Amino acid sequence: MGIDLEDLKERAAAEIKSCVSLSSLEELRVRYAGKKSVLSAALRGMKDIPESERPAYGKKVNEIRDFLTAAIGEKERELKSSGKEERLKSEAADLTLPGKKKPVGALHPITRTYYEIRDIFVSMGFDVKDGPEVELDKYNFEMLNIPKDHPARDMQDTFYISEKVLLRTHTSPVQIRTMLREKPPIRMICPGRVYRSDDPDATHSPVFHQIEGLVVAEGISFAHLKSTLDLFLKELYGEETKTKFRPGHFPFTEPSAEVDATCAKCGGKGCGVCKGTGMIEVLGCGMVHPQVLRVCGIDPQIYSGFAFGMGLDRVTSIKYGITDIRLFFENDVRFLTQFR
Amino acid sequence: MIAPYKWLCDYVDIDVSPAELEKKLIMTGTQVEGIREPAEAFKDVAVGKIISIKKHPDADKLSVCQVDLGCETLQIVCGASNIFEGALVPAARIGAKLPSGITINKSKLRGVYSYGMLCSGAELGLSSSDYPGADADGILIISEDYAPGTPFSEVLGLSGAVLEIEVGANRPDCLSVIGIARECAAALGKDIKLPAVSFRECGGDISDYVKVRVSDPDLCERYCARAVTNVKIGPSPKWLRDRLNSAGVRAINNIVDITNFVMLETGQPMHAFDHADIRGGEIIVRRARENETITTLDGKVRALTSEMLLICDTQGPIGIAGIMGGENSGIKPETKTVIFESARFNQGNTRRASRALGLQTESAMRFSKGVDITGCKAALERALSLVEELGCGDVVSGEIDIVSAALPQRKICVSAPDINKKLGVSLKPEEMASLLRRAFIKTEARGDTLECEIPGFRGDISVMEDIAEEVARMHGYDNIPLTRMTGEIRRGVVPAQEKSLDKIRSLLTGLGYSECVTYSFASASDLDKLGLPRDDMRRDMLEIMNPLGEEQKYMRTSALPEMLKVIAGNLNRKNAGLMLFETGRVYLPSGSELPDERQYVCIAHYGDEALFELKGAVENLFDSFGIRKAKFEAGGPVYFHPYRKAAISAGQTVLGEIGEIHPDVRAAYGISGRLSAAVLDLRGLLDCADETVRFEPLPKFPSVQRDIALIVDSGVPAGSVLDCAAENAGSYLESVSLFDVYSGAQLGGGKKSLAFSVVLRAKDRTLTDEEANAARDRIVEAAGRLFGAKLRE
Repeated sequence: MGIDLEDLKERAAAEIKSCVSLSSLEELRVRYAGKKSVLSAALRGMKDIPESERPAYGKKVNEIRDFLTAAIGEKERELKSSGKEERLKSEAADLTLPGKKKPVGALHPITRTYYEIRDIFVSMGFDVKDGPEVELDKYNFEMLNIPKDHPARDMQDTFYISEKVLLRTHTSPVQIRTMLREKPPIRMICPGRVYRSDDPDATHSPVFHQIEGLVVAEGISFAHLKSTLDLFLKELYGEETKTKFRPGHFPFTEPSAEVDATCAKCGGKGCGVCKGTGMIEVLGCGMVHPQVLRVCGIDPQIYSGFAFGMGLDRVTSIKYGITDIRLFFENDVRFLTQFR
Repeated sequence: MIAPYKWLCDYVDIDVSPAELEKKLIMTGTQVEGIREPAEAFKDVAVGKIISIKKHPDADKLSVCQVDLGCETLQIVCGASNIFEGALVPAARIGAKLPSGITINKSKLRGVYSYGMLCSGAELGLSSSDYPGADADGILIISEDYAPGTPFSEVLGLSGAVLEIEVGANRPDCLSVIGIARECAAALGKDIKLPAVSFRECGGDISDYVKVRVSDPDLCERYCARAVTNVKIGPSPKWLRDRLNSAGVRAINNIVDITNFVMLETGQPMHAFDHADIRGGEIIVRRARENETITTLDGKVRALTSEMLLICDTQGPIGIAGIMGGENSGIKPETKTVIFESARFNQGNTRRASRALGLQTESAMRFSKGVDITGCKAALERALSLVEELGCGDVVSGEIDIVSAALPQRKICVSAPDINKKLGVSLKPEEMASLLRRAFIKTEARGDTLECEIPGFRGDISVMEDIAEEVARMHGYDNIPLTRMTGEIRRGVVPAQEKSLDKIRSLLTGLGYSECVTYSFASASDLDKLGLPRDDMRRDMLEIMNPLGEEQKYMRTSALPEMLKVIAGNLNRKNAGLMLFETGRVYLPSGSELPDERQYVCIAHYGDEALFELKGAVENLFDSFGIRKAKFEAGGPVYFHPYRKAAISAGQTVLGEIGEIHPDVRAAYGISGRLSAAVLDLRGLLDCADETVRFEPLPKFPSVQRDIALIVDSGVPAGSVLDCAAENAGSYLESVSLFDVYSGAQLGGGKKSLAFSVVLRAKDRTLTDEEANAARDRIVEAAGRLFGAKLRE
C-alpha cells in the first residue's frame, strides 16, 4: 500500500514551518520536493497500486508536492526577508546624534552689509567703481570744493603722506575720478576704506568703510534724490521704513541733506540706539555742487546730479545693534562667526 | 555754540517750547545737538536768610543756624566763621547733589541735627568769575537782595533752557545769539528785533589818542577802532553777568564783559586795549618778525612766525591779531582810556596761526570760520552803546575804519524755473521770494527772475544752488515730492576684480575660513618681527606725516603682521579653530605720486596639520579660477619655516607664497603652536585665471591605468617627479595622481617611495597593454635619469 500520504504531508508541513535556516530548508526541499524525494519515489512506485486508484493517487501526490513546494517557497521568502531585516537592524543609525559638520566660515559683517547695499544699487543700474586709498589732495579735497583753509583739511583730521598726497577721508575722490573719465549719464557707487586721524574708541576708528553714490544726468532733481534714497532705505531696512530728509551741509553738495530712517532696532518706538527718537541718522546727501561738476568737465547748465554717502561700519552697527566699532577690527572669531 | 532760550527771546517773539523750537530749527537746517537746563545743577539749592546763629553746645568750631528758606525754616549746622545773622547764603536742602559731587543728607553733628548745608563757592563748583567772592574761604555771601527761597540758579542767572548748536562751516553767522535768533525767526515765520544802538560822543577825536596803520592789508581786511575815556572799571551789572554765565562765559569786568557780550551777541570778536599801554600812540597791524615773541594775556610766552599777524605799538607786539591780547596791554582796574578794536582778520591765516600756537580762543574760532566784514562797525557801536548804558566811560568822537578788502557784491539774480528744476518742485516765483525773505534775503520776483539781496552775514550764498537750498529749507524738505528717476534700464556693472573677490570670499568661507578686516597701517617693528633683512623691499614703506603713533606710522607692505596679531589676539582669548582670511591692500611705493595698491588674499590656518589643509584650500582657489599650471616650489620669504614653505607661480607670474610661520616669528608675536599662512596676489591670480567653462564629451573608450612606485632620495621634491611623469607619459595622458608617500627602514635611510597612478586614454579606441607599458617605461626611465629613481618592486 506504500506510504501514508496524509501523514507525510502533515509531518513535512510541520518541519517546514519550524525550519529556521535556509540550509535546513534546502534539505527539506531535497527530501520532500526534489527528484529523489519521498514523493517522487511514491510516483515512481505507482505501478504497485491498483490501476483504478492510480489517477486519484497520482493527483494526490502532485497536490501534496505542490503544497510543500509552495510552503518551502514561502518559508524561503520568510527566512530571506527576516535575514535582511536582521542585517538592516544591525546597521541602525541614531539620527539624534549630532551631524559631522564641516567648519563654515563667515563673511565679515561689513562685507555682508556691503553686499546687501551693492545688490540694491546694482539692480537699480548703478555701476561699482573702485579707486586708490592713498589719494591726491586734489581729488580728495580741492575738486570737491573744499578749499585749502577748510577745517576738514586740518592735520588733526587727515593723515598726510606729503603735501599733495593723503589717505582719503571719504570715497568721494572716486566720484571725481569717475566724472573725469566718463560722460553722463553716470550712475555709480564707490565702496571702500577711508581714513580719519581719530584714536580708536567705541565710536571712532582711524580706518573705516564708506559707500558713496553718484548720479549725473540731465534734469536730475532733489525729488529724484529723495525717491532713490527712500527706495534704497526701504529695500535695506524693510518696506515699513520711513525716511526723513533734513537740511545739512557738505561743501560738495548744494542743497545738502541728512537722512534719518526709522530705527531698525525699535521700529520707530524709541530706544537707546535712536536715543528715544525712533529715527536714526543713516545718510548724508545732496545735489552735486555746480563747481564740482565744472572742475570735472561736466557742464552744470546741462547736467545736474546727486550724491550720497554712508558709513558701512555705522550702518552695520545699527543693523546688528553693535555698540563698539572696535569689534569690527579685533576679528575675534566668536564675533566673526556670528555672521554666517 | 550755546544759545540760551531766554536770550533768544530778547530778539524773537518765540511762542513755542524749547523742545518744539529744537524740532523747527532742525527742519530748517540748524543742527541742534541738545537742550540743557543748566539750572538743574543747582536744583535743591536756594537763597537762605540766616535768622539766628547759636554756638553748638558741644563743638567750639560749629554753629547752629536757623535759616529762612521762604516756605520753611531749617536748622543747619555750619562750620564756617564768616556767616552772620541776616546774611543771604546758598542753602542746600536734603537730597541736593552739588556740582562738586557732594550729596546732602540729614545728619547729626555732635548731637545736633542738621537739615541741610550752607555752601561755599567751591562746594557749588563756582569761582569768582561766576559770582563775585565765590573764591573766598567760607560760605558764599550773596551780595544782592533776594527773597529767601529763590532758586540759587537765578542768582547765577541760570534760568531756562540752553540750546547747544553745532554750527556748520558754511554758517559762521550762527556763531552768535542774533544769528541763531534769525534762524528761530525764519523757522517760526517771525520778525527779528535787533537791539537799538545809541550813544553820545563826548567830543575830542580818536586821532588824539591813537593812530592805526595796517602794514599787511592782505591779512587784515578791515580794522575799526573807537576810544572810550573816563573809564570806570568795575563789575558788570547782574543782567550782563547773567547773560555771559548762561552762555558759559565767565564775567571779568565791565569793559571786558562788554567785548565778550558783543561777540556772543553779534559774532564779531572784539578786543579792548588799555590806551596807556599803547606806546607811541600808534597801533600797527603787521606780520610778526622771525623769532619775535609775545606774552599773551594768559601769561604764556609765545614764539611767533612771520606768517602770524600781530597788533603792535611802536615798540613791539601788544596782541596776536584775532587770537589773544598781550599781557602788556590788558584792561586793569586802573585803566582810564580804552581802545576798542573790531576787525576782520584773514580767515585762513587766523586759523593756521591759532593751530600753530595751540590757542583756540572764542575769538580765534570765529575769525577762523569767517566774520562778516560788513558787521565790524555795527558791533563796535553796539559796544559803545553798552558803555553808555553801563555808565562806565565816555565815548570819544571820531572813528577809525580801514577797509583793505573789497566789500562783497551782494545782489544776485537767479531763475525761478531753474530752482524748480533743481528741486523737483513747482513753486511760483512770488512764493520763492516770500520764502527767501523769511530767510532774511530781500528778494523781488520780476517775471521768472528772482533778484536777491544777500545780507553781509550770508557769505555762504553765491550761486543759484545756494538760493535753491534756502528755498528748499524754508519750503520744507518734507514738502519736496519723491519722483522716480527715469532712463535706460540696465543692471549695474560690478568690476571683474571685485567679482573675483566675491568668488574668493565665497569659496574660502565655504571651506571654513572667516573673513577679517584689519587696519592698513604698519610699523618698522612689525617688519623686524617678521625678520625681514634691512634691504628687503618691503622695508620701503609709505610714511604718514602725522601718524597716531609709532605702531601706525606707515602704510603696510605686508599682509602678515596684522593677521599674526589677529591670530595672537584670538589665542589670548582661548579661541579655537582659527581659520581666517583677509582680502586687503598693500601699499607699495611706486616712484610715481601714488603707490601701487596691490590687492592680496591672506589666509591663515592654525594647527599642527594645517599646512596641507591650507595648501588644499589654495589649490581649490586655483581650480575655481581655472589656474591649472600653478607651481609650488620650495623656497619663499624668511618669515616662513625654512623647510616648510613654497613660492607659488604660474609661468612667469608670481601667484604668492605659502608656508608655516617661522617659529621665531611666531614667538615674536606671542603665538604658540604651528600656524600656516598663504598670501596670494590678486593681480597675479587674475592674470592667470581662465574661468571659461569648456565642455568635454564624456569618453567612449575605457582608460588604462598604471600604478608606479619610485624610490628616490628623500630630498627630491615629489612635485618634480610627478611633473616628470606627466611630461613623459605621452599624448594619451589623462592624469597623474599621487596616492602614497612612504619612507621606512626597508627602503634604506634617506630614501622615500612615491606611488602614483598614471591614467591614459585615447578618444577613439581602447589603448593596448603594450602602449600603457611603454608609457610606464618611459616614465621610469626618465625619472631614473633625472632623479636617480628606482622602480620599487
